Amino acid sequence: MDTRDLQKSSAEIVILALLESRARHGYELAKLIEARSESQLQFQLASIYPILYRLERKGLVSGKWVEKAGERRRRFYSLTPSGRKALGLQRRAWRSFFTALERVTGFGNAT
Amino acid sequence: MPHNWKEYVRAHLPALPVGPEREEEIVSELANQFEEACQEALRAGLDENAARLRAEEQVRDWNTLAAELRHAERRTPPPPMSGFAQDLRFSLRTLRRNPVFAAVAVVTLAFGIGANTAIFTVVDHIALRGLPYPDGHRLIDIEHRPEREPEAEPWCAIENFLDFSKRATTFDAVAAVSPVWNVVVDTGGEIERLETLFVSASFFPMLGVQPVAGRLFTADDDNRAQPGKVAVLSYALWQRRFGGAPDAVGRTVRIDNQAVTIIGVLPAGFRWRGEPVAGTATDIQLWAPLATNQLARSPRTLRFLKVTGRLRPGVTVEAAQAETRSISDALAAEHPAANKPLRFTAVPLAAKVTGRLRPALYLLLGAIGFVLLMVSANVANLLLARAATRTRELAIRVAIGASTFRLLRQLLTESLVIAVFGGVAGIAAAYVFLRLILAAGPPALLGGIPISVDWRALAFTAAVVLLTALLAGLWPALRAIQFNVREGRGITRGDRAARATLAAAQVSIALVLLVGAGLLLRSLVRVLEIPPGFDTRNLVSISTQVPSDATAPQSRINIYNTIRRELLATPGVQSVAAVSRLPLLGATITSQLHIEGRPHEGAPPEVEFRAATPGYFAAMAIPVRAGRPFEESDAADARIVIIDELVAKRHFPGEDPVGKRIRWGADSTSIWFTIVGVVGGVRHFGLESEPPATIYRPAAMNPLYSPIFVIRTEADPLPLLPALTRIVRTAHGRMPAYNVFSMEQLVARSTAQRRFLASLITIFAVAALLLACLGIYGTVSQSMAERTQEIGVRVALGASRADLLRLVGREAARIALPGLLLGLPAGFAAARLGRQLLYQIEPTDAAVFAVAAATLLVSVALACYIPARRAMAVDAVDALRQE
Repeated sequence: MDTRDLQKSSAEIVILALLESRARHGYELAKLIEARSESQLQFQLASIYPILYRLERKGLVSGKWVEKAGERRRRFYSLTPSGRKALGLQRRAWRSFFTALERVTGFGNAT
Repeated sequence: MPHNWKEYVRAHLPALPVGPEREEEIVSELANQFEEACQEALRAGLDENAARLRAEEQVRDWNTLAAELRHAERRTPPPPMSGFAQDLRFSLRTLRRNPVFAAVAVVTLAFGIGANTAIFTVVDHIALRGLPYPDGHRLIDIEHRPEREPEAEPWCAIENFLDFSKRATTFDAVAAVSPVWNVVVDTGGEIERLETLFVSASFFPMLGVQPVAGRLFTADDDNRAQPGKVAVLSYALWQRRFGGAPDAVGRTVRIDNQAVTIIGVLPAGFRWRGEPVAGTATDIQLWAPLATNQLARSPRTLRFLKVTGRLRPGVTVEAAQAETRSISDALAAEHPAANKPLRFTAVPLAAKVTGRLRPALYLLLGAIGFVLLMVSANVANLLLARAATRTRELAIRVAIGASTFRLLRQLLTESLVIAVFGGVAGIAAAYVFLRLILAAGPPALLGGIPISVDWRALAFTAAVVLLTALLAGLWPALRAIQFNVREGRGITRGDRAARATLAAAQVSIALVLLVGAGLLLRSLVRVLEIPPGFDTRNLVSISTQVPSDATAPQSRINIYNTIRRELLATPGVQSVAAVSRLPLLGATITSQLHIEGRPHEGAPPEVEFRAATPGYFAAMAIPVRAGRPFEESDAADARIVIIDELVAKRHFPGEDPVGKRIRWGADSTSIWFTIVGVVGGVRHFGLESEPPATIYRPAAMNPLYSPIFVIRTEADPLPLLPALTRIVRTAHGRMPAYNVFSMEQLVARSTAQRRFLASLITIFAVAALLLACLGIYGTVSQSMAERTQEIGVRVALGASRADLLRLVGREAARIALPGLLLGLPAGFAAARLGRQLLYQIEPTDAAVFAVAAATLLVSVALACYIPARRAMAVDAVDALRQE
């Protein structure tokens, strides 16, 4: 498994998580990721679009152009039902992975 | 001045493989991103230039971005093979890290695939590929036999053959072949007897054979008014006797004391596979025109030919059969005396040639297929065991977004890599197995044709490799993925259940094979227990032929007596006699039986017919049931005959046949012979054929041209064979000696196919048993290892060794019992399918099933021995400390 795969899919899961509460547009997502990861996730900000497009193609998010009064026309992305399901699934998988890691490394109590 | 970011994006973004609308959308969205960033920078107090530069930092590498966009926008899914090289590398790396796993899997597979390829090669050569002649599928066996005796040998009289071939329009060629004829050939060196076929001129053209030297027979050669004194050599004879010299063609040799010119040589690979040599290993070395056969001018009542035809292109078998029927009716009406009970039938030759071997060959193929299933199950079991240790790796890969398809492909690639390694090793193994099979297999089954691993076998191997990869890999892969998707189910427990299921399946397959082997072995024992009707111990047969110029009866008697005297003078020889045909050696021409004072209704009954010298029944130890055997004191012209008990029972029920008179042959004017004795029945056609009704005439009446000496010795005759053979060759000038056997060898030959089948299936069954044990051992060991802590607790709570044994026993029973329950009906079903290969044993034979099941259970117990020992050695404190 190469690290690009890892980054890509971790970025996917981050985006899905950020869209869980409400719809957001691309620039907002980029800023949020930049802020939340404290710039730990190193990728050019515009790279968020290919990821969004891929998620859209997979049917996990859907994008819609919205023009609010006094604001520019922006594309807003929201989670689809299958996106919500995928997020849950991945969360659980990660959780079990980290549980496993914890067990292996001996930190914390075995659940 | 508000910067036009759209233009900026268009200027920098490399072309994308999307429609203009979609491109506009992407460009707008990216432009937005720049615009927002720029605005934010301006709000933060930067000047316009600085803000623009800050915004431009949003994209540092346009090419990468374009690549990512292209990837995201790709409409078609990536070609399925795109990551294959990567999967392959990954698989190889994984295998390198687990050399023991890899080695066990590859060796097991090599065995399974190798054995399958070898058996397939044999079956393919003998039963699957068509006849090795151009248009072989158009060849039809034309059979002429009594309508009510579908089992009778279909011999055809030469007049009927000629009439048939003249009238047939659905065939573009009809050819006749004589029985295998023994001729004595003198090419100047050692005199030898060769197996010869006399064939009509149409024979070789019908098969599309071209000579490698000289020419083949023409209609002129095959002219009964003036037959050509010519012969064609097999390639082997040409090489052996003439060193492959081109000038062998044109040379004159003496065949049965007649000068014959060699006119041609057949190609090396040529072999007639039809009647009368179908299903035998007989190697015809010399070919002669039918017209030169001594029976070529025989009457319509003498049936001695096998007939084959080739359909005209486009003519269906049904059309040919319809025409055959009408010609048959016409010939019966025109020549009622000879043909009334006889009918022609037409059967495709290919089915005929391979038909009798098919059940045995398909049984082998089926059995070895089961072994392959076992092997696949074992590898699947290994993969499952390993999947358990790879749970985490797979979980991570699912978590980071690997698709189900991707994982499935990766896991299948691994099993494919293992299978391919196994296949490559298996091809090497196939060569070894094939050599063993060819060395051990009976020539009659293997058909005397060259058999080697070829592209068809390799294609089969490739298919087997793919199948194995799927069989072994798909389930473990699906399970591994299923677990990862449905998180929360304990993989270990589920996996243990899967492995137990596999092991149970193996138990049932092993049981099926054990039952098959048991039934075949019991059949073999039954066959070997059959009394052949004479005493086979310390008995030798040597066939010979007197010179054909010994036309005076007395000269043949003198030759016989000379040889017999010398044979009797050999130390260790007890008695010597001769007969016209040997028991156990196969078909012959029957004769019609007439009983004095009893005109028969319909066709007269057919009986086997032998000529025997005085002392024959004593030498063979064939019991005399009534009357007396032939005696030296019988006059040469005594009209006496001996019948066997089958003739007595069938035609003289409840009366004493001795003193009654019979005659035989189609000629109703022949003289009557008085029955002087009744002897025991003899299995003339092999141990498994019932003894045919047989009559014996005294050899003295017409002394044998081809006497078969039977020599009873005091002890094991094998050391005497060379000396006895030499006597037959030299006692009277130069004579051939052939078919030199001890009778026990002949019995062995008669059962060779059965022994071969039984031993192969037994070997397969043992292999399957071992594989099943391996499967159970692995499953139980793993299960015990996982339950070490539980066992520790039990030990701490005072569990006895017996308790622990019960624990292991329960585990093993959980596998073995369902396997047995499934295997018993499966074994029964398989036995019913192969029923025709059984001899006097029911496919439900309880003893066989019981022994097979017991063998399996004992093996299971042995396989659990080590896990049980381990369980009992568990130290409570150690086990608990692991917690």
